[in-house]
Amino acid sequence: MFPIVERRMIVPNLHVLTVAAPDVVEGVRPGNFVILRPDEQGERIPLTVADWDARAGTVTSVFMQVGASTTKLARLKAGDHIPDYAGPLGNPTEIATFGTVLLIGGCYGIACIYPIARALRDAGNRVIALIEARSSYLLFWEGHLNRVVDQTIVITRDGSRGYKGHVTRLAEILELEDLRPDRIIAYGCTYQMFEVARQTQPMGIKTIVSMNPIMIDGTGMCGVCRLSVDGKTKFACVDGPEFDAHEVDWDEFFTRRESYKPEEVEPLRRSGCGSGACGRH
Amino acid sequence: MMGSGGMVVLDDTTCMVDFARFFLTFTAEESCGKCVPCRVGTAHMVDILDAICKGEADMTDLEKLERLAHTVKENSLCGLGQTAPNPVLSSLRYFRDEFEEHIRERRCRAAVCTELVEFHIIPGNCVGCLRCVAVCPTGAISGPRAEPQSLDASKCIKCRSCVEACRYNAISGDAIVADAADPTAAGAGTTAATGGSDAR
Amino acid sequence: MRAEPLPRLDAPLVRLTIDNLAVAAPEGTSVLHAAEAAGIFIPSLCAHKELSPFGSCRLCAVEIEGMPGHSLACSTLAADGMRVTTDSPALRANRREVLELILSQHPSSCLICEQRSACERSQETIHKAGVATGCHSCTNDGDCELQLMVERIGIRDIAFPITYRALEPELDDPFYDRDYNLCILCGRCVRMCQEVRGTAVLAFKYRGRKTLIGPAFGESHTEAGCEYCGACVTVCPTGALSERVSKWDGSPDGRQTSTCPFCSLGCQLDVAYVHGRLSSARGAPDPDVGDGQLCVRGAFCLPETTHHYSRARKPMLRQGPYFRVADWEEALTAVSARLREVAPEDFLMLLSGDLPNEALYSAQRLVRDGLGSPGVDSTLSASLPGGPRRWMRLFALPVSLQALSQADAVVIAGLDARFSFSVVGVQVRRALRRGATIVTVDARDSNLAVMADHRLQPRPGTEARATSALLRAIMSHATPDGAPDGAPDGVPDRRALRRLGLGARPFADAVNAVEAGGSLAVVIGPRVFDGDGADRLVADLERLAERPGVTVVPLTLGTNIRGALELGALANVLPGPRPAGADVSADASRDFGRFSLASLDEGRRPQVLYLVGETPFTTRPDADFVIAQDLYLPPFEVDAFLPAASFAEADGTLTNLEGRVQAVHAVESSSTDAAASTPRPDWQVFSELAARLGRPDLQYQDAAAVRAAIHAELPRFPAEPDRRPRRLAFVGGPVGRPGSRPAPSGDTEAGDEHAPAGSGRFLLVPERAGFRHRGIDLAGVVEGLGELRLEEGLRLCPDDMERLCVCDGEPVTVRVSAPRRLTVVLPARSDPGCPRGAAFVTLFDAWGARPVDGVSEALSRLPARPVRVRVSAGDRTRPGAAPSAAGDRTQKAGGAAGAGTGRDTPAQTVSARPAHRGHASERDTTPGGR
Repeated sequence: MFPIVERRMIVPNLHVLTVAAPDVVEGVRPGNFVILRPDEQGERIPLTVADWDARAGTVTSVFMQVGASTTKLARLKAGDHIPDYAGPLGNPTEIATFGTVLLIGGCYGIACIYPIARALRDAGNRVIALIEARSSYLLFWEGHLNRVVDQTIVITRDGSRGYKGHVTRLAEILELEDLRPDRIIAYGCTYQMFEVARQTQPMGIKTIVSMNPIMIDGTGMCGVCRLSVDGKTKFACVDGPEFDAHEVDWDEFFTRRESYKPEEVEPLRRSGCGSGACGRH
Repeated sequence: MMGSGGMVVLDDTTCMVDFARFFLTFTAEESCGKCVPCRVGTAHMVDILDAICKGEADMTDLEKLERLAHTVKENSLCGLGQTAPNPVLSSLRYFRDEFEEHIRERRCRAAVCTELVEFHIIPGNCVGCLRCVAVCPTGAISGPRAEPQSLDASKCIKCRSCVEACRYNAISGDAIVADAADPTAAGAGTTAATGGSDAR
Repeated sequence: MRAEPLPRLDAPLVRLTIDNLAVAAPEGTSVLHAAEAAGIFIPSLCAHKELSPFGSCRLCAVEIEGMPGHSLACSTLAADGMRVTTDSPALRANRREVLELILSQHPSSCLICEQRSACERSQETIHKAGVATGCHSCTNDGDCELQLMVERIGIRDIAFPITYRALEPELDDPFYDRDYNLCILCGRCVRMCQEVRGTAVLAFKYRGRKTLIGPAFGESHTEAGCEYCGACVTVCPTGALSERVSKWDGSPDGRQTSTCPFCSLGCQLDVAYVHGRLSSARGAPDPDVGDGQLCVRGAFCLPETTHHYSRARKPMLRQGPYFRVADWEEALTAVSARLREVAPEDFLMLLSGDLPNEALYSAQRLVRDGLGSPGVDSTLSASLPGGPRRWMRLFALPVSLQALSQADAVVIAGLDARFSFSVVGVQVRRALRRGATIVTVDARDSNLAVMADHRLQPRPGTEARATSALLRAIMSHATPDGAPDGAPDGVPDRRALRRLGLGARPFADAVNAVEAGGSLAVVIGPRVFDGDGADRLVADLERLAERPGVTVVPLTLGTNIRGALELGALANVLPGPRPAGADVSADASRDFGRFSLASLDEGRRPQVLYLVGETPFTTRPDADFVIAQDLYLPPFEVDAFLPAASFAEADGTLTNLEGRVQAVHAVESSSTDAAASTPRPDWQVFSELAARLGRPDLQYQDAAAVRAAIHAELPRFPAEPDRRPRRLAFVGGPVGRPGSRPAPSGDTEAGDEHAPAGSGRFLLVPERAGFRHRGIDLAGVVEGLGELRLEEGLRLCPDDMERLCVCDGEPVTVRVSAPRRLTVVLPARSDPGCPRGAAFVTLFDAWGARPVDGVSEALSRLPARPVRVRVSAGDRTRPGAAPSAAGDRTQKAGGAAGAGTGRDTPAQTVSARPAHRGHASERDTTPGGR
């Protein structure tokens, strides 16, 4: 059982979750993810690691409340326990001295790029963060990020902060900011990463994305998280989760992610958490 | 909006932008909230005026303000909404240059808008009577008696108590003068936005 | 609260010009509605055809020649010669600006995002978010009026900063969630609640930019009197209000009109379905019955009733110690084999009163004709207060909900329309808006009593006698020449009134308020028919109904009572209805046929018992072979189970209390494929059994064929669904006075001196469980009903609880001495509508989906009439508790364990509208018992 140190909603629908997991902290590196279960009957959820504290033995991630399992998670609080917290899983981000690296974080991706930014800067890179959200009230961790990057660019859909629009203006923004990154790493929802991939293809900049397929075991056995990269079948859990954005078969990826649309609605028909924890009927 | 059949006399120590803002804030607060133009429109107008008074607005905001004023006036359900923008509209008609000055030069000529004002002491007029020191709530003014005082701008909260207290306006201007801030000075008002251009 | 008067139905036409088009509309129509009728689009968000004009969104601004500036189309009446322009560059610019203002208070980023379609196409899954931060995570996506307006008006961008209120979504009330971050303050929900429902739960709170919507004074919805009718959710143009069960289903694939299966009103529903599955229901516009309104059952209970996970969908057979799944072929063969063997006099089929007409008719024909057995009966024989015969008489009276809404005076006896028969409450409020006088006769405070001009509050259990007295007084006073009507007892004297707990003055005022010569509607609630004097009341109603302009609305629990009576689904009653034997007495006769529901009570034992849609037993009834055909498995062992199609899965008809034969349309397909193991309509099962019994004449192709057979036998019954009302005509005709019915021994004459409550003696008023469908207790499958706990515990008024020193939820011991000795322990529940000295409790008779606890079971053996009891705080059945009176034979009924001891989850107090908010009238009589 893993005790929850903190579970707090930081902006609407986005929660930060800090769990005491000394074994996980030991080997964790930027780009890794963990798989956890909110309760014994719960579903396995993969979450990218956003931060950790080696001394305290805690790991922090950020999750968006978008379904039954994350709703269960969102109801937990400090002092509660979760039965499973496995990690670090996946391959960490490749850290080397590339020159100028642009990290793009959308929604929950804003948290995911934090440890990567930190590591890249330590490796001597010039790190620029481009964070995106629908509106300014959905932005978070800017202070955090500002400490580990050289420059932060904000873009909001409605223009309430920074640039107005979204990642489809990437080329334009790079122009306006006079940036010529040597590498781009994008973390965010599938559509956003797809757009980034599309924009950067003609630019010829190496772009890495962290793919988020449906995942079950996370250790390479079940095959649920498979995707096609450069025509070959890869598993996001052991071959990824980061891949070259220009080699991913996005169509197949989108289709596979839709697999359980009607089933996902079923557990939310009732207001209770479904695990007896909330005391509702 | 200023009372029924009333007459208010003002001098050049009243900022017309602040004046318009004052009345609009009142009517926005009193809005019942039923109809969209009054409830939402006046709220946005207040926000724009706040921004102008802080020196954070640009000319498009002024256009927006004027357009909103007409929308609110023409579309509101009752007399409150229909007349709430009047102080703004008439201020714009007769004192537009003050609005533009706030925006373009970030200057409040009446030295009322606190973010756009810095107070300093005119040494030539100050006799060191220490009246201002007595009333300053933050202890921003200091100096020996009978000598010109000095004002620490970092402690000044722009409450104008010192200006009111100073008697030495008979001699070519006030000893303590509120002077509009140097429009080219950076740092007045809030810090710059995090990178990128402020595209609106 | 009286809102504006409703428009006249016969108004002359006015002619005007809209956008150079000549338009004609009835006088009293707004320009907006006139334009809509002519096919001209004028945008609006706060206007709604059922609600008064509000003028808050300002989108419908148009230019009218001669009127300065803009005028609002929604609140300007169309007038002769008016010239209206709805479209011009200025108007368009204006609309855009106003809509942008509206959108700036809503999470609108997705609405104006040019990437939206691309993003949605690639959106892998519905974002079932905690709060909506854009269309992608909103329950209304795809089915949203804001989206529609944005498209029609053409917004590319929002010039204003978008503000987010950052309110916590309200998730704690049953049935629907509220996220007021999405609210655009159009006020439709407030007006719907205030004007149409008359409950005024919602209001605008605060002012200016801080305006919000909700119940006043920080009350919860339940405390504020919410009926959970779903009307606000239906009219909300955004996703601010969303029904919990179906919110993430997405926009429906289609909608189908159908009839609600939960009570005898038969409100018309608009059922939405997604992926071939029932999603949600809302009221269908229908001036005849519901007028687009529903109660909590129709509004929210359908999805869970039909799709609960414990729904049994496959046939099952007992084989030795096993109860296993079988296919239809095997199951039908086994059942028909038994039917073939059993002697006609050893067979009994029990039908639910909730079954559709086709099921009822084909069932009784199968038994009577196919098996040659008289052994078919319905649980209605026991549950209809006063017996089937009384209800035949009642349905022969003129029954009309329309007439109710147009009556000059309405008398309502014993009905709280908050959660049951709410639509009757809506019609009463309409009558009120038309200026009707409302008189209520109710021992309890009710949500209708608070708006009554005259409230008579007789002692509990005497409502029938009080209503009789009132009606007789009205009749004798209402004859044109003032002479008494010839009734032996005209106006009751003061003493008689006092015995009922009524004052003479208020009584006379109420009588005088009902105008002579005006139309009168009398609504009688279920509880009244169980009271003493109900037979007499029925006779009085019959006499009253001989006058013109009178309508009676008799209410009781059960959906298709009319159908069951008309189609002869009861013992002693043949299709017609006509009596089976010469004896036309009200009781289920023991002379005719060996078996009926009553005979089971007497301990007679059938060989084969076939239960269709009912489980009136808590343990397996004594029979050799028990067959159950229903939606859910019964709580005891059976030998064969046949899964029946639910409301959503089969076409059929239901007859409402007015005699309208209304259609139920399936939205989910149930397969007729012999190999498929899915639920089948009841009539189809009977048809297939008939085939196996060698009776092809009793086979039917489809539901229409069953109706054709009914029509052939009963020409008065329409062959196709026919919504015209029909009075019941039964052989035997209305009888003057029924024979006296002996009261069960130990019955309480409610006129007795009734001991003050301080000593712990109470009048226990049992009420029949009202939330049931086909033998299941709905609170067991519908989460929201379980949360409301409407029927749990012993309901006492707060004063009495204080006197007994109990808090809500704490156990109390109830000792009954007559008609049977009984001691039970129940949690006490605060019930402000309850009169002092009375305690209300629910009698359950449907045990499907309900955990059988000793307390409910013991109570269910009580008859549904008030009895004197002793109530004491705490659980006195435990050893060491206060000794009981010497000589008592107390039956401990599961007191210490199970449901008796108080629950530790916080109780929500559900009650009728508290009196302080009602119409205060000093002329009202004092409640009985003081």
